[in-house]
Amino acid sequence: MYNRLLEMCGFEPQEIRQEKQRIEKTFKVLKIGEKEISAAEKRVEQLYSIELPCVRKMLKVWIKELLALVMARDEKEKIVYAIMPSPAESYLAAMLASDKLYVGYPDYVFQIGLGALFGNLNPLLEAAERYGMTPGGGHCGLNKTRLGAHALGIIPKGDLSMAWGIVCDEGPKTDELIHEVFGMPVVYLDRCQDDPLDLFPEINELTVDYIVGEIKRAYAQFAEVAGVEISNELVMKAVKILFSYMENLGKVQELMRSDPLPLSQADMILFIMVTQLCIRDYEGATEAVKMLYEEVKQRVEEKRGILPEESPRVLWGNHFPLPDPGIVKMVEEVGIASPFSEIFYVTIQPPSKIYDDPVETIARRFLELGLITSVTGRVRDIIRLFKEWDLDGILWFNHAPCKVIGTDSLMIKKALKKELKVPIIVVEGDIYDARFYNRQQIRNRVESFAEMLKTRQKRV
Amino acid sequence: MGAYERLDQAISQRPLQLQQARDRGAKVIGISGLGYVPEEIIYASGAIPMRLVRGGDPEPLAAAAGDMDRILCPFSRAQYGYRVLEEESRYQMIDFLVCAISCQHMRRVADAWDLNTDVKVFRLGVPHAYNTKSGLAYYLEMVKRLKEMLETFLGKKIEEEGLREAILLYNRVRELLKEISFLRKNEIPTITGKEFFKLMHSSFYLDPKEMVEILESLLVQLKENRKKGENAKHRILLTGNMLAVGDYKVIDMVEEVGGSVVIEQFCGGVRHYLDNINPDGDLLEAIARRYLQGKTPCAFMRPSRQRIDIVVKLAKEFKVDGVIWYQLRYCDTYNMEFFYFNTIMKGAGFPVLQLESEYDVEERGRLLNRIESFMESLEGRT
Repeated sequence: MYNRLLEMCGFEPQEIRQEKQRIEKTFKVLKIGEKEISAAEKRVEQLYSIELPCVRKMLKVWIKELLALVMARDEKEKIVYAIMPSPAESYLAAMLASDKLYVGYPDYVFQIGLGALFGNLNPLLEAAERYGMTPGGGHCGLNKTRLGAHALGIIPKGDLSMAWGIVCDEGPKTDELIHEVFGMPVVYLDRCQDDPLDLFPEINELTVDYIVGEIKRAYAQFAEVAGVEISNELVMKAVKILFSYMENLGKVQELMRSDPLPLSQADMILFIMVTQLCIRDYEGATEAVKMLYEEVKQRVEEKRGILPEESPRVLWGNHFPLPDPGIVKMVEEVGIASPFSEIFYVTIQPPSKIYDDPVETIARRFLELGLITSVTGRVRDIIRLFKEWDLDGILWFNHAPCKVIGTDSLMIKKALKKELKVPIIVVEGDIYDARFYNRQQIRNRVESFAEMLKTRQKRV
Repeated sequence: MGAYERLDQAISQRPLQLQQARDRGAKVIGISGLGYVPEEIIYASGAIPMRLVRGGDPEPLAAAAGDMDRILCPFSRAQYGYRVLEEESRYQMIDFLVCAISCQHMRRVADAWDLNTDVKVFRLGVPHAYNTKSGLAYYLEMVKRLKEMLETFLGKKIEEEGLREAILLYNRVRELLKEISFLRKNEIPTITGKEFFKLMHSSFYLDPKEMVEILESLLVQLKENRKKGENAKHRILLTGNMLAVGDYKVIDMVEEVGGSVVIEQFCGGVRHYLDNINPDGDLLEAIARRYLQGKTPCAFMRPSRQRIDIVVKLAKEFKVDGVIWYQLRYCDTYNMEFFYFNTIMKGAGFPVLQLESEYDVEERGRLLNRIESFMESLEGRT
């Protein structure tokens, strides 16, 4: 029943046989039957460039993550959950501490595994709405995904959640709710978002010290629960693994400067997301990203792309939607090329320096992002990227329910209009919940925007 | 002159009083983020602290719509919107704004003022890990920076003795508010919920010395009037995230249908006056302890369960018949907390009504219907 789908996703027949029990149990828990598999086959064919072996390989990495998450209680002694957005290396270090542990990000794994691949995320989102994240309440689909997974009982209760509250309030609140309702222990990490607007690109040293202390406090609690410590060596190892992957991905990103645009962002998302969370198969992922580089390079050399040459290029504000890569494909279909999204671009950059205390490296990498520090820091980064990449406009795909990256869109639009004087479209969207928007309505607006960009190109 | 008359007079005279003070060179320091900015320090600096806490009107939201996304809670949008509207003197006379970055919504208030007005903004970080050593150390550092900033801005050092006097003065305001509020434990409260809220909200606006005099005389008056009030049909505990100055619709409706709000658990409610600052020892540390750890945690604090336990305790102490949870739309943390709050309160034997507002005039009918039904449902229980 599932062989064809898994083979499309890079599994060898022998691997499918070996994994049979895990696959079937996972699919049963997730209520993935014949109908869902058939739908997934169509999605994978339509959304991803599965003619590229590297894409198939990366799809396999994601399916393996899905299996590892659902099977965690059967296969591991302790389970520690992470939440997004957070620096993946801090949790990767925890994952590396022992092979008896499961450490992972259920939200992102379901967003990609269940959402993007199977198009079947809605039951989780709806479950979360029955458990306190009421519809219309302006809640984030990422947090809903996590809460919904607990509410439906499709993931085991964690022994600990290390709730990264350094960027948003709702993420840790979700885990508090999960704690109150399902009894999962939580350690909260904190930061004050009080940087003055004119501080960036300087870093608030008080904040650095505070975050370093918070991560170490969480690590101490982790050690109590997991029975193993996260040493500096482990953190350094995690930093190196992740940053090495980022360097490889950065080379692919550079190829996106080529005209025509050589690769769809729907494919890129699969590779980018590896940098945002800790996964089990870094070896497979690294191999895949290296293959991606070679395959995209070949396209560039042959002047092959997914759009005609000289298609207008935009900076995609926020990041590409996770459970609905179809939106990205739609924008590409109407003739707009997005060489990167603002958030993904800045977050896949390795840090400017590795410090003796690797936890300090983590904290500083985070705080080097304008996005994290202030609205003016974010604007400054966007302007820099816009100019560096010589783009034609900005497509701001607003993550409307998010209090962090969705509540500054008007301020950003105003600042960018003033500074750049280029066409900007703000689309009221949701990067984690496709139910939020009407795709046809977005298409109509984006088509008009594309016409405007093309007319402008001709006039210039 | 009775205490209430004196209060009304003080309120009506305050704008002129403030204007005259400004003409003499005094500075008005706006406070955004009600519960986490220690006004004692501002008062001790010689400046005039002005808490910005108005809400309940739809017009400021429309005024703020070009700069603040609609997904922000209406209270936060209003804190900028009143400034844009230019109708409310207390939002216009601000020389410097201190914004407690207590949640994501209030962070955007600081951004909107900073980007779109000529008022300088100081961001006072509020750690959500309020019960940790590092959280306290961070907040203490911010309190010190606030003091330094004020000294620089005003060109004048804040003396220890002046700060101690300010602490004692504000402690006295809080003590009196608490004593008056707790009179509502009596079977026949001599002050209504609406009267008490207006009184407390006046303390955000009036000079604290004058406020102490008013509160002292009112306390005497209320004690004399004991048993002269009416026995309300249903005693209600009102809770939620924020009951802004002027946002009295729910209290009015409860009283309209024969109920009485006998205690409230809000950022500008019992959380404001329940705890005092220890005036002994290191004063800045004492201030930090009280503002961060001494007061009941809001829903964005981690964890915030302590607040729910306090609500249960208050509900028992004030012998309430029911609990009304009043939340503002898009306040994510309170909205989520309601899910288990409801279970806990019902488990403790208290019926709960959840209400939500976006400061829209059209919601009044709906709110009143729900309050009426809730009150009816309490009939059989009492």
